[in-house]
Parts: sequence; structure tokens; C-alpha cells
Amino acid sequence: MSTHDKAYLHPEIDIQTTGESWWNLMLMHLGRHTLLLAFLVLVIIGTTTSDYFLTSANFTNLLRTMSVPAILALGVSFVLIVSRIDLSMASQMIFAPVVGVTAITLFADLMDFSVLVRGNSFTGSSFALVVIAVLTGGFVGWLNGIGVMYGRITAFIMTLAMMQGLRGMNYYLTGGHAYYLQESTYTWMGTTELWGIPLSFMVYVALSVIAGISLRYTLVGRRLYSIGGDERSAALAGVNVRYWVIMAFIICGVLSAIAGILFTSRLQSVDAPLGFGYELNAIAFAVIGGVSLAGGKGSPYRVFLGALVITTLLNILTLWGFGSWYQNLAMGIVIIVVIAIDQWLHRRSSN
Amino acid sequence: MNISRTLARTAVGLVVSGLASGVFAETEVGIHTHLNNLIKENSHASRTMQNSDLDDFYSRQGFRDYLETYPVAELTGDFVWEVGMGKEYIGPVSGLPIKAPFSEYLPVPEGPVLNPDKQYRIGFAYHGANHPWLVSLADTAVHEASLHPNIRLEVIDSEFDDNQMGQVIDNWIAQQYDAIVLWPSREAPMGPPVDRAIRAGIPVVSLDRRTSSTQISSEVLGNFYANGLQQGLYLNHVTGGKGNLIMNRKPLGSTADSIRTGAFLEAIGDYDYNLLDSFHTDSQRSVAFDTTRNALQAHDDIEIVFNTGADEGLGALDAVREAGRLNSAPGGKKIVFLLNDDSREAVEEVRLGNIEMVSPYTPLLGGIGVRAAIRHIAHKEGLADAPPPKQILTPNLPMITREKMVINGIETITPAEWPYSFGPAP
Amino acid sequence: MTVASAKRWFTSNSIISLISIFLLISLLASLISPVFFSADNFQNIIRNMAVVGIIAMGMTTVLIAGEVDLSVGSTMAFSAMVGATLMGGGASIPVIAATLTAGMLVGLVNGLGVSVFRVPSLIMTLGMLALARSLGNLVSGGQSSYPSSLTGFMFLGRGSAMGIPVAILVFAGVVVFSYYMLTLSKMGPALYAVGANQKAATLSGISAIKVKLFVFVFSGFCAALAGMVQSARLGQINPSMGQGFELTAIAVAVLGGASLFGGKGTVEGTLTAALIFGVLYNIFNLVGISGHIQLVFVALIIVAMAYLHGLRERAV
Repeated sequence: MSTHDKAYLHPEIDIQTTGESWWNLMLMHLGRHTLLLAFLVLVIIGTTTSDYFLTSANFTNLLRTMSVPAILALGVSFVLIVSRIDLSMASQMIFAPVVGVTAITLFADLMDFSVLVRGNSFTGSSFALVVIAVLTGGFVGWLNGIGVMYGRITAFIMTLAMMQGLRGMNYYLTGGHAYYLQESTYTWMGTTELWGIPLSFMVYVALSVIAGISLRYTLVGRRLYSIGGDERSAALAGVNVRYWVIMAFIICGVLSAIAGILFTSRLQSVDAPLGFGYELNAIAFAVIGGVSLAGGKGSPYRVFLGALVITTLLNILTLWGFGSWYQNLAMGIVIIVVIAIDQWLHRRSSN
Repeated sequence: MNISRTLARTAVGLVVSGLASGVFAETEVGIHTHLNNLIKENSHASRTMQNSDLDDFYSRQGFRDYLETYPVAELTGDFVWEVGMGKEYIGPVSGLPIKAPFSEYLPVPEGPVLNPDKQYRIGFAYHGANHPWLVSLADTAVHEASLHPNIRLEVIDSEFDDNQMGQVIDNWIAQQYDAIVLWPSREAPMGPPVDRAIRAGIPVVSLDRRTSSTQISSEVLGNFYANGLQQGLYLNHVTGGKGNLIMNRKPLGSTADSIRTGAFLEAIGDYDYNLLDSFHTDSQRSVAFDTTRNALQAHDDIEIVFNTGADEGLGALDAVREAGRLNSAPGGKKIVFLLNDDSREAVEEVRLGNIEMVSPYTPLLGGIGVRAAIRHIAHKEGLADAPPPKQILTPNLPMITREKMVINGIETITPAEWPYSFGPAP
Repeated sequence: MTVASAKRWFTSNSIISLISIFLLISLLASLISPVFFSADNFQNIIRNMAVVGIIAMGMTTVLIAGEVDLSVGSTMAFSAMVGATLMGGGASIPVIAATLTAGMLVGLVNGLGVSVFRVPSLIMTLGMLALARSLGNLVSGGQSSYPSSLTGFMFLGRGSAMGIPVAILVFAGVVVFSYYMLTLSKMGPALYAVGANQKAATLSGISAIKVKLFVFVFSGFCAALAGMVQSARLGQINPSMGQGFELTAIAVAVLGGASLFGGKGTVEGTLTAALIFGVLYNIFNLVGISGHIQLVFVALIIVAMAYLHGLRERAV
């Protein structure tokens, strides 16, 4: 990896210019800005091939389609930065609202009032639902972290087990049927837009900004990047590795819960089989954005770029009338090709 | 004088009572109305079942609510349907031969429609291109659209991801499509996108299953109730009202599951059946295979397997055959299989005697949906006075059994007489 | 027996601890249900685990070499759909050959991407997961095929020879081949060496590229084979088959002692783990635990066993 890419880690290090040829410099810049270029290229393609690409309705759709997977990607990027992985996000996304609904319903039963209309229409407090969901996300993340750090179980296996277990719990807690979530605040969350920008996107941007600031300028960032860069050195330097890795998982859990709230508010319902396979999309967004699987590299801005590029590509394919088969094909090819090129560029620049 | 008047009155009385007793019911009233009458007779909307376990199950799963709001009514435009009607062609998506029973229902003339100078775009959203029933649904929709050169039908398979189907619909709204026809997998998540389309002025027609939207332009549906009911009536007829049963059902919360299973329970609820287990098999053959195999391990006295679909039923049959338990019901009797959906493979198994009864639910409805959408556009553009009705009932179909029987006044159809099976030949 | 000595016995030898877990669980099952110890039931157990077991064998070799293959579920479907295109000829052999070739081809692409283009295998096979499935959909038009008329093909899933279901024989064949390959051929030690320390292995003359190509092609082959057995059993070649199988296969392999970091894993370990899973599912059915709750129990058991494995590794 060139020093150029590690600039965010140690801002005090000057970016070295070693007098390389303009070709190599250009490749380095290309590597850094590939995604932005790709996005621009896609915008041009989209505008010229479809009358509807530059419309505000399409723009809104694009932002909305992007938001939930991007929040998941933001969450998993924290875990990737500390060289771990989290496969349970999509299940958590559904689990958090389910627990919220179940808990409130149980409480209501105990206190003898009703929050269910017609058997499965939930009318309880949305505020309580959101709070319980977020707490649940944090709790599940904490469990993941404990399993990985104290149980010494590989993150892949731990979060894989969590993913399966939560999916089973989702079916069990919902009894296999859907809950309609039609309380007015909740549906407001799913439908409201400001100047064509959906609320879910605004939440995503806010979360990204908070994440970006904490990763770049605060202790959180320094600790997480140092653990991801070289865990042994970090431990020797006195960093409480266990604490920070668990914290990364908790953050991922909380973000998954928030994603779940936005997701279910859009569908105005929560149902056990929803969200199947979304964890792979989220990881793809993060990885294409440049968050490294080896850890120590990546930022919310990168995740944003990765999400933007992929979603725009899929949007164009949809406008062209290509269904999910072609879209998955495109996603698969893009993932492989982008990483292959990225690796090639890295090997070139480090030679 | 008096004698002839008396004779005449007696004759009239005989005919009337014949009608009332249902002897002439099918030919006089039509199979659709006759099944509707049976549905009303067996409804437990306002009474409990005599089998308390079944009643408990029925209440806990909330079937009453779903069944109450499910339309049981006459066909649009006084259409009367009989076995034998319908057009034959090769399905454009599956490449299989199709005889579409309802091609004359809610007709739209061939050729350019509406404003002949305008190109219309209609979106067709469904799931499960790998499912023979759903592919046939697409077949009929695509065929209908192909009859009208100024209509472009965009067919998108969302692979059972409700969120994706919502996004597809949002995309069509952004591109200002002229109408949307959809097959919703589950009711709850599809309501909001349909409402958004309606608000944007785009007519929406749902096929087969319902959405949670109250503003949808039209719903094409109706046969589920008669399906489940006939399965129950058949069962009562052949078992005399007792047996141990397991159920392979469609996803919980889907119209197909609630109405069929609910209707089935209504028909058998007053009898002495023992419900051993109930599974949800996602309409997938492999899942029903697994659940039936599990049930066979857990129970050695299964006598009846109730399935809400053909794929489930065939998966269950495979599992029973693999375990060598086809005749393992107490007393060395054969396990009774009840299915819905008249796929060619299922009907063939009826002919061979492995499956006792299939209650058809033809997927060949896509055409009705597209025609209803066209009529809605016509109304929207001022080319027609009235739009099609909000609920477009599909004709109730009689059940298929190996040999001809008369059950509760329904004359069953044999496999040889049924030309509408869908899917690949076995 | 003290806790400490029990721990020691457990941790001393991974295969012994696995076999003892298997025996314990079998004992538990026989207490729950008298039908457990019957030939019929054993056949059921192994037959039900055969498909996942075949994939897990391929996955084990990939894990030993230090990589992972997430695309096996999609490869199952893709190769099956490729084979299905030849069904019209009415002969089973072309279909079977085409399926296996397609699976190996996918494996080859995976292997090239990982070894030559240095794409991390998690990413390569993740992309292939999406790619292979969509190609499978496109090849088949998304439609299922029904091979019941191909007697040779159907024999794979429904036939029996010498009283043993063919599905089990196929699984046994894969197990025997894998065992031979890992312990008796030259490839075996090469796999372990590359997985444990790729640089050192390369320095001592082992071609990491060849090793990785081999394991991915083998994994693809296993996926295609498993797909055929599954299709034959169900009488249906469904383009959406195999979803989630990759994770179950990884879980089985890892519980059998394979490590995601490479260099570890055995055929007997994976086999025992597969049997443990099979018995567990059997117990669930006998007790009446429904499919979805089964997921929760399986998750807990995975965590527990991974923890025990970790203890063992650190005790050594």
C-alpha cells in the first residue's frame, strides 16, 4: 500500500512524492478517485440513455434505494476496520424492530391495554419501538463482540451463527406472520421527503458525518485504525483491544437497528423473511468503496462512494428495463473487476 | 282442469325442489354460483366448530378475519364459465402449450387499443420465474400484451424480495408508466408502493393475491375459497369425517394461505379430525419435501397430507415415496394427498392414483389483469365511461379426481377431461 | 473425572472429541426415540446430510488451503441449469457431464481470480455468488426443469445399489477421494503447507497457484455433484436452489476442525461434523422442534463447538 493511502491514519506524515513518472502519479490519483470518475461516467451514460434519469422522482428513488444498504455498509465498515467481519447485519435489521414490537406488545398485555388491532396491526408508541430497537441492536453487537473477543471465536463463524440464530428468532417471535406498522409517526418516517430527499437518506448522511468525524478526529478513530493496522503493536502500546473491537461490533449493531427501522417504516410492516441477503450488498458497498478486508483502511466517505456508484449502476440498469438477474450479474462482475484492478494498481505502485 | 293444474303445480314443485336440492344445481346455476352457495353454507363466521381443537387453531390463526373480507360474489358482466371455454396458444415465456380458460372474460378486442397513435407502457411485477405456476401467470399476461401492438409490457421478477418489488414499482412511477399489474407475494409490504402509484395517477391491478392497499384500482381474485372448501368437502366424503392430518401451507400472511387453509378448516371443522402438525413451506418443493420427511419421522400414523399448492404437494409426495411410506396410514391404507393448483405433473399423479384430489387454481389469469389495466387506462383517458369493478372475481373451478364423483352437488372432473393444466409435462 | 481432566481429554485430540460428541448426541437421540437406532433412520440421516456433506468436503479443501468459497450454492444452481439445457436430448450422460464441467469451470475462474489476480477469496467468491446465480437464471430463463424422464440422472438421487441409496454412495465416494487426496497423494501436504504459510511453501518450491486452482476446481466439482443429487431427489432442477448452503458447509467444515485461517482441517473431522449435524436435525424432528427454532439451536451449537475448538487449540 502506498503511503498516499495511509495519509488519513497519520495526518502528520507528509505525502511523499518520490519523483515517479507522471504515468504512475496519474494511476495513483486514478486509484484514489476511481469511484468519483466511475460515478460521473455513469451519470453521463444515464442521462444520455434515459429520459427519466435526471428527473427528481428518479433522483429520490436512487437516494432512497441507497440509504438502507449504505447504513448497513457503514456499520460493517467499522468492523472491517478492526480486521473483523460481521455477517449478521441483515438479520439484526429485522430482529431489532421485531423485538421492539414484541416487547411493547408483551408490556401492553401485562398492563392490560392493547397495541394490536386486528391481530397483527401494531399501533404502539413508535418512540418506544425505536428506542428498544436501537438498544437491541447494541446488545446483539455486544454479544457478537463478546463471542469474538472473549470466546475467541472467529468473527466469521460468530456472526454467521448469530445471523442464523436471529433469523430463527425472527420467525419465532413474529409467529411467522407480518406485523403491520401503521402508526402515523412511523409511516411518516418512511414517506417523508424534503426537496425530494427522503428522510432515510438524510439520516444516512447524518450518521456518515458523525462516523466520519469520530473516525478522523477523535480517539475512537485512532484506536480502531491502530488495531486494524497492526493489532499486536496496538496491544503492546497499551490499547485496550478487547474494548474497542467490542465497541466496533456494538456500533455495527446500532446502525443495523437504525437501518431496520428505516427499512420497515418504508414497507410499513415487519416480517421475518425480509432482508434476506442484504449483508452481502452491504459488504460489497464497503469493499468497493475501498474498505479493506485486512483492516485498518477505509472511511465513511469511501462507503458513500461505493454505495453511490453501485446504486447508480443498478438504477441505470433498471431504467433500461433489466431485472434483478442482470443487476446481480453486474454487481458480481463489478465486485470482482474493481478489486482485481485495485490489487493490480497497488502492486504497481508498491514496486 | 283441477287435476292438470295440480299436476302442473306438482311438476313445478318437483323442478323447484330439484333445483333446491342441488341435483340440477350445476347445469342450472353454474358451477361458480353453486360453489359460492356451498361457501356460504360452510362459513363459520358466526359459529364455532364442533371439533374444539380445530376451532382453537382456527381462532388463534385469525382465519375468520381474512375470510370475512374475502369477496364471494358473481362474475363481472354476467359472464358464465364452463369447462371447455378458452383460447389455446404457446406460452411466450415458458414455451409450453397453454389453454387459457378465461380468455373471453372481460374482453378487449385484438389490435391497437385506446389511443392507437400512442405507445403505452405497462409494468408487470411478479416473483418466481422458476415456479411453474408463476411462469404461467406471466405467460398469459405477455400473450395478452402481444395482441396489442401499441402496448409494451415490462416483466420483472423480484425473486420474492418484497422490498425489491416496491423499488421496481417506485421506478415505474418515476418513469410515469401507464399502468401496473402485480402479483404480490405478501399483503403487508405491497400496500405502500401501490398507494404511491395510485396517488401518482397510475392504475394498479393485483392478481391472485391481495395487497394491503385499499385504494388499488382492481383486484383479480376469487378462487381460493372454493379451493380450500373443495379439499375439505372431498376429505369428508372419502374418510367419513376422521383422520390424522398434517398441513403444508403457503407463507403465513399470504392470501393463498389464509383463505385456502381457512376454508378447508371450515369444511372439516365439525368432524373428528386430528391435526398433527402444520408447516409453512414457502411454496417450495424442497421445503415441503423436508417438512414432510420430518413429519414422517415424528409421526407414524399420518393419514392425510393437506397442501395449499402443487409444488408443496409434489414435494410431500416425493418425501413419502422416498421413505417408502405411501401406504403407511393405520390399517395399511394409503396416505391421502389433497392439493391445489392443477399443474400437469399433479394432474398426472391424480391419473396414476398417487394423489387423490387436486382443486384447480389456474394461473392463466395474467391476461385478465392486463385487460383490466387497459380498461382502467381507457377510463382514465376518458375513452370509457366506467372502469372495471374493484373486485374482479375469477370463476370457481370444480375439483379433479381420478374417477368422476358427485360431492355436495359438485360434479368432479377427471384428468382426461381437464385441458387447462399448466407447467411442463411430467 | 474432574473438569480439568475432562477439558484435557476433550482438547487433546480434535477427532476424538468430535467422535465423542457424536456418540453422546446419538445416545441422547436414542433415549428420546426408540426408532433412532434403526438402519432406516441411519439411512435417512446420512441421506439428508449427503448434499451438504459433499459440498462441505470441497469446502474443507478450500479452507485448508487458506481460502474460502462462498459461491458453492450458486455454483450448484448454475451448473445444474447448464446441464438442464441438454435435457432435450433425452440422455443422462451429456447432462451429467455438462453439469460437472460447468461446476469445475466456475471453480477455475474462482481459482484464477484468487491465485493470479490476487483478489481475496472472500471477495472473489462473493462476486461469483452473484454472478453464477444470475448466469444460471439467464441460461434457464429462470425456469425450473424436470428431469424425471432421465433415468440415469434420477438414479443419482433416488436409486439404490446393494441396498444403499445412491446419494449416500456418492457422498461416500467423495469422502474416500478427499481422504486419499489429502493423506496419500502429494497434493495433500502441499495444501496444508500453502494454507499454513503461503510464503514459506512457495519458497520450498510448492506452486501456490496450482494448489489454489486445484481446490477451487474441486469445490466447484463438489457443488455441481451435490446439485445433481439434490435435483434428482426432488425431481426438479430449480435455479434458486442452494441458497445458504455455503454457510452451512462452512459451519460443518469449521466444526470438523478446519480453520478460516488455513492449514487445518481433515476429512474425518468434516465427516464427523456432518454426522453430528445430521443427528441433531434428526433429534429436532423427533422432538418436534420446528424448522425455524432449529436455526436458533444450530446457531447456539455452532458457537459452543467453535468455543470448544478454540479452547483445544490454545491448550496445545
